[in-house]
Amino acid sequence: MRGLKLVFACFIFSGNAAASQLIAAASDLRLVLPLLLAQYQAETGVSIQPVFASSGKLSQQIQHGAPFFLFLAADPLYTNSLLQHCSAEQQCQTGVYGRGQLLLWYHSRFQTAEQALEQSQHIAIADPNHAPYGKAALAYLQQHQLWPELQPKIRRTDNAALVLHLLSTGQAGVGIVGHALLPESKLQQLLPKAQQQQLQLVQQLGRTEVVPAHLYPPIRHSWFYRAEQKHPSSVQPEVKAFLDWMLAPKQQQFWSDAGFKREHN
Amino acid sequence: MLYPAEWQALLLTVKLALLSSFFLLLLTAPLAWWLSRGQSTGRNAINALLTLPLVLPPTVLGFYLVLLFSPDSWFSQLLRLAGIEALAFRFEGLVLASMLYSLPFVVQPLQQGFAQIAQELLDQNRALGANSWQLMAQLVWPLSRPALFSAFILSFAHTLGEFGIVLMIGGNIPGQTQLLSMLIYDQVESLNYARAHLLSGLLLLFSFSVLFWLYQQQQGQQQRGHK
Amino acid sequence: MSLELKLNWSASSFSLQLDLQLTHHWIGVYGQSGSGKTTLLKAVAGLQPDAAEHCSFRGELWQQGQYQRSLSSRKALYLAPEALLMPHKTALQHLQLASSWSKSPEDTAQIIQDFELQPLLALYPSQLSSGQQQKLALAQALITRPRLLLLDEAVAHLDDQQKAAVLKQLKQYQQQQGFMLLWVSHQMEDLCLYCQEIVWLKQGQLQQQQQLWPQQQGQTFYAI
Repeated sequence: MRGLKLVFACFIFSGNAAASQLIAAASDLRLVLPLLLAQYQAETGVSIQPVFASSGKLSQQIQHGAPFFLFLAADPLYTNSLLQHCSAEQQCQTGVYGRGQLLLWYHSRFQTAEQALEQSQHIAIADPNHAPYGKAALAYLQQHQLWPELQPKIRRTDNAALVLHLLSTGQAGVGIVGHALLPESKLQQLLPKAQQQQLQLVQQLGRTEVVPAHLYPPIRHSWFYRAEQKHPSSVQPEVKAFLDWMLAPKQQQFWSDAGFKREHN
Repeated sequence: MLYPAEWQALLLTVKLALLSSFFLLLLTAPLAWWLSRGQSTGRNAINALLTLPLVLPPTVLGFYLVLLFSPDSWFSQLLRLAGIEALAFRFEGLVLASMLYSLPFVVQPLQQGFAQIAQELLDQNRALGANSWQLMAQLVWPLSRPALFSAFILSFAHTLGEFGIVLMIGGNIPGQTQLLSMLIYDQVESLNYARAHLLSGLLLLFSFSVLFWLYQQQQGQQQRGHK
Repeated sequence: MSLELKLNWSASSFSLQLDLQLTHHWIGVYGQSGSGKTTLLKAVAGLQPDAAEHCSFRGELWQQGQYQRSLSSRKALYLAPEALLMPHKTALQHLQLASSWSKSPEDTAQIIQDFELQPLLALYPSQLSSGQQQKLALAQALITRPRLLLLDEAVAHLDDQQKAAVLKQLKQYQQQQGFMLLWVSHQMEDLCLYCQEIVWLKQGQLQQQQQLWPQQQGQTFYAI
């Protein structure tokens, strides 16, 4: 019993692991960003951990003091608003690095996407209030000629990744997700086995179509970086180095495999 | 069997549960004692306040804590004066949040346990010559040990299942605020059902064992009491 | 004057008004249920402070208005009809604790012998009969050498034979230690056997206060 107490005591007073190289990323990057980070680690030996949530939530958290120095958002709205709240010593920067695409997934019991939209009971999208892919998906549905019938069938999930969850479990017959959540098979093969199986399940269960880009406002992926002085400076150059590496032309192939289009300014 | 990140989340969860339960017990025992010594409007008001976390959705508590922990709040400015960094997205913040969240799970059993110690018995032994320390050591401590124990276990188990507040104030940061419940949510979102299964099963088994053990202990105490 | 007491207390359907001066050592308190006997004893012990307006014992002020002498310094012990014992302590531990808390304790071994507690020492209160519990509570009280002993039907659960033995011992200890004793009982015969003075309460008022001269002791109280 005394030994047990000692173990408890040691463990309680052990220091917390340093939450150092963290980056915040929008949920649509949930599958592909870990692959990119693994590639980065293989090349440079630097390990960076991602934390995922919807862009809106993450920007709120950063505004309330969350320790992220790099934030990959799915809408410049959020990165720009963070930029406005920045003080001079924080040296904030933002930029746009790619354009995301919407995929429409429908269950294979429907013949076409149109039929699926018309007949399915539920249409899953991310919450338009704080998830950019949800906002784009809503815009796409709103311009659809069947909008009045589609509207009551919309089911909102907390973020983009959860849409896939509804689809893979058969709870919704139609869903609109970011392309990056159903990346090219070249990237899929790199994923952990459990994830591959789930993605295969989704793909076997239904069909996907790329939603034509002119049917919804562009989903511009942007980054936000800040170099806060009061934090240990050793952390930030590594994050900044990753940002530069990620934006380099060499990584362009990765981004297009992940379902992004190049952003032409 | 577990990956380092999962170990980290598991240890962090257990550590959070142990620490917050311990501090909660320490802080609320005197209050619960006062509450157990009779009835008054003041006591009822305090009781109602302490039971709030039980009926309010975690989001309400989470929302207020987000405001309180934000770097510009009066609370954070006060902490800064004391040389403490803002609590948002830090383990220390989670400890504070868990203490609030588990408050009724500690105060209720303590209060009930203390109420079992009759004022008459205390008065009798005081008249026999015992001073306050002697009463504490010979009467209050041995008689309220089962209550302290249940309060600790309940708070511990309840903290293991904490999710709503962590989701709002934690930020899911590995090693700081990524608890087991958050990691499971994360795995489900990443379509990593195998890991989610494993972690959920682990938590299920652990929680069941703790509760089972608690009930066994209680039964043991009752049998001893009826000797 | 040994014990001076002025009570003024009213509850919803009951009021107690008493002004008592008691000088003898062994005083019986008699009255029907609800006549205020228990309140009287508790007020003297300091357990019901709102009932007493004034209380002093052997020239020492125990209570006057807001002033309250502490329970431990009064050395007045109230023994309730159901003995108040610690559920987690054995009989022996009860005696030992009382002895360790007291500045000049009575000899524990002697008390154990006098009250025939030897076979009960290892038992917990839940394992004792209510009569045995009363005996233990009384023995525990005597260990601390009280100045005032307040018995509220505190030997009522004992059978006649045991009661006689316990009362005989109690009388001896009273003579040794010199404490004053207020004894509430329903049994007038018991009171007449042992008491030097009897206080008769009726509906919260003093009905009669009667001294029993030595020759009267052992006779039935004539007022019944």
